[in-house]
Amino acid sequence: MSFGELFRDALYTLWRQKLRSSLTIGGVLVAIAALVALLSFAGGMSKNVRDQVEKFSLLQTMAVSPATSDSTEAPLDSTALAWMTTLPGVLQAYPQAPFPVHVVLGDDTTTSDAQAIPANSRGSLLFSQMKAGEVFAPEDTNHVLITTSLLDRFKIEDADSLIGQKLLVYSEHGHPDSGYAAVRDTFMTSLSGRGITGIAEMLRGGRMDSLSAMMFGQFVSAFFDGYMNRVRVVRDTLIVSGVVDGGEGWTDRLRPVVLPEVSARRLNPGSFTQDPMSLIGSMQSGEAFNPASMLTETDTAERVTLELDATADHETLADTLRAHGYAVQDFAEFYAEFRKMVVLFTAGMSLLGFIAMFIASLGIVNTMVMSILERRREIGVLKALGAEDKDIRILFLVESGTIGLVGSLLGLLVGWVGVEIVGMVMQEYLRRQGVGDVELFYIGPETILIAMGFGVVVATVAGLYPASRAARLDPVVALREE
Amino acid sequence: MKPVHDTPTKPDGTSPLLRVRNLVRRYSSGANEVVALSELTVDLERGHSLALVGRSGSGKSTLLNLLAGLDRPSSGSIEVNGRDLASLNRKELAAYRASEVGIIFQAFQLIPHRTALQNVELGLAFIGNGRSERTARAQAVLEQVGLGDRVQHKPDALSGGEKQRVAIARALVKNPTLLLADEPTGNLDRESTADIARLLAATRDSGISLILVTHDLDLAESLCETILELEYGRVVQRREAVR
Repeated sequence: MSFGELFRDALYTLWRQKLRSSLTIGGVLVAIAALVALLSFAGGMSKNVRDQVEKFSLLQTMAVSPATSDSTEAPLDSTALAWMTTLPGVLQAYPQAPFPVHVVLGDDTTTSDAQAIPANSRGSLLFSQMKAGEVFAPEDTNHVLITTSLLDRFKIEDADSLIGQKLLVYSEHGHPDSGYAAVRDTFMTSLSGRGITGIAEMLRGGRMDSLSAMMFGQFVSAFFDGYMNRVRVVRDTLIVSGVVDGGEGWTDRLRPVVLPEVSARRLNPGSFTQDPMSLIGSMQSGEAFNPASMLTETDTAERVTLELDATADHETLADTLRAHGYAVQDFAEFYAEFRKMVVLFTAGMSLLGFIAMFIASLGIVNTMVMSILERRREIGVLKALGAEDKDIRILFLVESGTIGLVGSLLGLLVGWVGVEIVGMVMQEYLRRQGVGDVELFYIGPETILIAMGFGVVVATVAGLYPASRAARLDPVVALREE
Repeated sequence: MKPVHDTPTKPDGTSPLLRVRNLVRRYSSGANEVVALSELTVDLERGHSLALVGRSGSGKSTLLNLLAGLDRPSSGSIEVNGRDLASLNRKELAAYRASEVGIIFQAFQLIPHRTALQNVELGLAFIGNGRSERTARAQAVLEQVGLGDRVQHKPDALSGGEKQRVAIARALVKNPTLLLADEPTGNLDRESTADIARLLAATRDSGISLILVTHDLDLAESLCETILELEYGRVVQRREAVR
């Protein structure tokens, strides 16, 4: 008998024993549906990262930042950038020195981060995912490039509609000079009216400690008041030249507002921002009282993205940079670790699926043993007609494999429908939470192959014992039975 | 009328189809041992027929199972076409059952969920014929046994006589050299018995050797040339049939 005939017979046998077959197939169905759900979740996670990595060519880039909070130890200045471009495998180095800006489009205003890009980065991987328009030319100093994350903030869906539009970008700068001026004003006020009378009384009373404490308190308060409130605003009206795909996550190498270097210097002239922590930190280091050092701040990047060629030795390059005091985020390294994690996660998920399938396989063994007990005479007849032991064994293995196949197909279908429904519900929930489109579940060809292979192989293995028992059956005894 | 021989070789030098020598079959049942066949010696020429008669438990069915290759002797030899069945391995024995011997059972032993045609096709399933060839041959044999119009019927829809005719067709479809019939009319009425007797006679006349196990002496006399009576596993009488 051919395999096709055996398979057809097996299907017919399952059909004849509808209730028992349905219950057994149901067990396989649940196990495979669970396996599909678990594997598709791991698949979705893997695919999201893989898509991001491929989309932004992350494996051809490396992020470099100072290893310690004291960036003066290994500054990311123009000298360091020039040195990095000489390293083997490095094609280009792009600094990233973000600063906060306010962006006005029509009646809407949002606060975001801006950064400058050097002229040589125009044709680089940074801009491989343009959504609309193009990267501004080096001479277009009044142009700006924005990322899709900024579009989302303005709730604009059509990226093309923004090309050529004017965008008002401004930044606010607190400056120590504003603080000093406030201190001066406070001092002058103290010298006039009742203030000077009060001081004179304190001097007469010999209360010098109280006087100095009071004056220090007033001056500090005045400095902060001046710093925070007497801000300088720098405005620039820029034309949107292009929109590039990018969010604000770990994979994004561009900030939402990308400016030519000239505009960036104008909007970020090297002062402190209004961030009080930044100010306090600078005061502690003495930097706040040394205006010359402010220029260093603007010329030092927070992070540098290295663009590498395909043959770059990531490990050697990362070691070299680390030896020079830099922290390195190698996406290839991360991705390799991530893939290992996905493999382990998938193995863990498969183990859960295996446990479910093992339980289902007990049902298969039971069904097959029952079937053999009921068909002893049939087995005897087949042997009398010339069936070898292996023919009988194959007959029952095909039957148990068919249970696995049918259960796996149905399990695949139910699992697919299940993850589609759960995926839609979760997608809607995430959308409401402000998270963009994420493919939570992904059923790839490998998931289908694993689920089907798993179901059929485990079911066939479960049939080994009953099939072997059937093959060993003595035909004389079997034929004698009523 | 040709006799059943005890001698291994005929005077003309040709060997018989079946040559059984000193055949013993013992069964163990706990500490007890039951001897079903004892030192049995039988020969059967090609195209001849032999009836095995005797009371229940005399060893007729045991002998038939041994001749069919379904069971193995405790000692002695069974040569069919010059090959000793005792020396064959399981695979070779299965091939012997598939191609050389046809078996008819008292209880028909048809597979209930298969049609008459499919049951007969099973007789060729383990020889290696293609599906279409099997179907064509099964259809032809069913027409020969008068069931051309019942091929798609399942056993439940057939009478006892028709079931046995399907079983005969299944045994004949492979063109066996030896046909073994174990009480083929045991479950049938008089009319069906006559039909089956006619069918077996035609089979015998076509040159297929027949061994018939029966309690029906009239059937044995009408179908077989030689009648062997067994008792306690031994041949107690060997005689030519009187027609």
